[in-house]
Amino acid sequence: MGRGPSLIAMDASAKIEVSELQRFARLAAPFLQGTAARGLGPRASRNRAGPGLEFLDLRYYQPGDDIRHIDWRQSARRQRNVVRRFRDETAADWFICADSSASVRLGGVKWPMTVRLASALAYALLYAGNRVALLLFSDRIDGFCHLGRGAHQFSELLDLLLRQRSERSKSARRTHLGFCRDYLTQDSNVFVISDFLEEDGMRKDLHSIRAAVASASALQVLAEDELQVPATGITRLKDVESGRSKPVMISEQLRERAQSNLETHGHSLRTNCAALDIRFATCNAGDRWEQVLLAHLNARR
Amino acid sequence: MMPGFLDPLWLAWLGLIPFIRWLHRWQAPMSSWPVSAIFLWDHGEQDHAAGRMKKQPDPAWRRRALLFGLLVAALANPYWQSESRLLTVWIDDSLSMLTIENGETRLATAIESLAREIDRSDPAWAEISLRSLTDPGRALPYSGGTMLNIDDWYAGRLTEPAPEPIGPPGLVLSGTASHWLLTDGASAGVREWAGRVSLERLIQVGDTTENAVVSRLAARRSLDDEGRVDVLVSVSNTGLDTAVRRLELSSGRKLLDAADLTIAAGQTMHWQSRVPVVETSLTATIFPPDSLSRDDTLTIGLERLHAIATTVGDSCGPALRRAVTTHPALLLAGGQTDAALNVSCPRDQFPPVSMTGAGARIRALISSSQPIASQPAWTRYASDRSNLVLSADWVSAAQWPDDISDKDDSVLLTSGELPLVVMRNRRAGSMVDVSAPTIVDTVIDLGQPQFVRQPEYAVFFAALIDFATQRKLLTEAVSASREVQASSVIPAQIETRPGRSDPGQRDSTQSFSSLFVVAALLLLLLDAAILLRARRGGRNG
Repeated sequence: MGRGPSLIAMDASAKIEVSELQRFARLAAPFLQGTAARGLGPRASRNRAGPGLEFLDLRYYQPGDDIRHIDWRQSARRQRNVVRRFRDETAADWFICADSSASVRLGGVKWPMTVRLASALAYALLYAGNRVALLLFSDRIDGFCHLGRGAHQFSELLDLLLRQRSERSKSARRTHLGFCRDYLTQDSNVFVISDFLEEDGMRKDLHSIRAAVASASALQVLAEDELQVPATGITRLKDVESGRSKPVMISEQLRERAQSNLETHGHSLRTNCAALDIRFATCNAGDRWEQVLLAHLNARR
Repeated sequence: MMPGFLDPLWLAWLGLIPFIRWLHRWQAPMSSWPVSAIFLWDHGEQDHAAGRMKKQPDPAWRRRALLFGLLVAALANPYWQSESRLLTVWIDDSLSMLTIENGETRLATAIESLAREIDRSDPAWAEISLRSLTDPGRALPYSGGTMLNIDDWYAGRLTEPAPEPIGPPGLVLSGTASHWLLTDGASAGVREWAGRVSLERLIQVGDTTENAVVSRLAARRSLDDEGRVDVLVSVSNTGLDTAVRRLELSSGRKLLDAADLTIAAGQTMHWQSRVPVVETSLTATIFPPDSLSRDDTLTIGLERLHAIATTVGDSCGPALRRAVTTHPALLLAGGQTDAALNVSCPRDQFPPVSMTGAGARIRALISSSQPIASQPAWTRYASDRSNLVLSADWVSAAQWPDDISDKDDSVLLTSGELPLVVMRNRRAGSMVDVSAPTIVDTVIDLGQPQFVRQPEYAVFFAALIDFATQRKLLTEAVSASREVQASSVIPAQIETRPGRSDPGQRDSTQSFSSLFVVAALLLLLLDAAILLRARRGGRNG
């Protein structure tokens, strides 16, 4: 990755040093190696030469080729230097789908964490030579950055993320992860970052996306004050996405039930992801993003 | 105090308050709180409980119902009706109120009655002020029935003659205070005033009806008897019965004259006397003193009737000297430099007018005189002497020796173009010094025998004296008098204004609908503030 700013400001309270991203990328590289698309069922592998162990083909020597890969037997036979090429096992296409819906923006802590996770992941993937794309979704696709490589691509992704920082969700309808499916390519990998606070846990959307990609990961971001409500009294709770509201009598019992529902929802989500072969992890918006990502990547292996 | 509504029909609109409550049933009973996932808060039993509570109307309906009620009450025009706690007591302090009855004046009796009335008042008065009908602008605070010192009340105010009470105009009377009147009803002015204004209570005193008054005392020089004055005394009977009084004229402790008078009711008797001129004042008193003794005596000073010290110049002839000695108002004073009148006879020329000397001057020029050509005539400056006709047959005069200033001199008598008598005006700077004694110059030969023998000579000389002294010495009089009606002590019934035959407490009505409007506006502002806060309430996304 080339030169760029030394400090990336997500918002007034969240900043990432580029050095931190570089360190993370180095730490995550082993986890991100061998991430070439491995499809479920008969699917053509990507035929691209690069670093790897799996033989791909032979080619006449060209200046710049590693002389250690010269196949001497074939070179003697063809009276011309021939090099052996291997399948580029580290290069893959990644789609990072970040939830920018109203529920993520509520409270002002989940979205910054989402931005940190998405930008760090994109940096690490690009650092590893992958192509990375970014999708921001809510009840529609709020932003899309095409697949690309290198520092320029990172700048594009970062710009898209930071531009969304100041833009609120313009509608309050339910989050629709399924819109991202139209942008995904075969043999690509998907990383979904969301709070997954839909009543169905985005089950159908996850199933739809998983069927279209080679691999998928899901990272749930929740806030510590996810269930914060006024202390006492009758309050009308209003869903920021669906707009549905209901009067409730705030009580300790109500809070406990809500907490229980949240845990049940999380368990259901985890089970669903496991069934779909989606690597799933949950984190708190206050956690350190490096630890979250490293833990998740390690679990993927 | 009693509240009420002037337009109570507006209060019927309060029946809409239940409708206001019904309108608020759709209002969200509570503020909205955003959550990221409403499904996490779905609970079976509590949903029903909260749903039931949802049916409760927005509590804001009470605040808005109160606002509506305040506006309706303001439209109904609420008022307080209270009895006035401010009392103004109008005191008839005319002369008749000083009539002594049962050992005290009517005014003192009235004040005691006032004190009893005030003590009986319930509730007590907040503020009581006493005002005089003869001096309405003056007010005294009331602090009890014994506080009023009659002498203090009348100090410097009851002059001779006493002013007739007229009272202030009815519009001046404060509309928020009760007004009482203390009177004996003897004064016609008080009766008339009480009939015009609104009075809540009338305290009337007085029983005595009989009173005699020395209504006039006058004196003037006796023309027949030098050194004496002619006196005229008028005694009036303002009572209902015939009055018998003894009238005494005195000067100091010296009794000069006396007479017994019998005066019919309502009549005035005049009595004349001639008494010696005295140094001090002259007093007329009737005896025995009656209930109102202040009007039983009158006193005058006789200083103006004393003879005026006069000097006569040596060059003046015997006729002139004799005229001075025979004048009833003049006293020949030999060589006195401060005499009030100086008669001199300069030769050929009038001496220049000087500011020295305090007395008035008559200067009769001695010069070669000739018979005058035409009949002397008085000018407009002496038009009151027109009945004194001088004849050219026996009047001779010299030529006027100097110029007469049109600005400084007043020609009093002329014969054609010839000035005969001129009054010199002495000036102090550019203004006529009116305080300076007058100088009268004449070129008429006052020693001419033909003129001296005329009866007009003495009258002419008296006229010169009058011009010089600026007085009419022979006819002037001094006198003092008082209004006879002011001494009437007959109590009369006061006729108050129709409809107040039984005066009671004055009610004052005060509207306070503005108070309700202000309260409604404040409540409206509070409601708006609460609505704004609710709109901005909740967590920011």
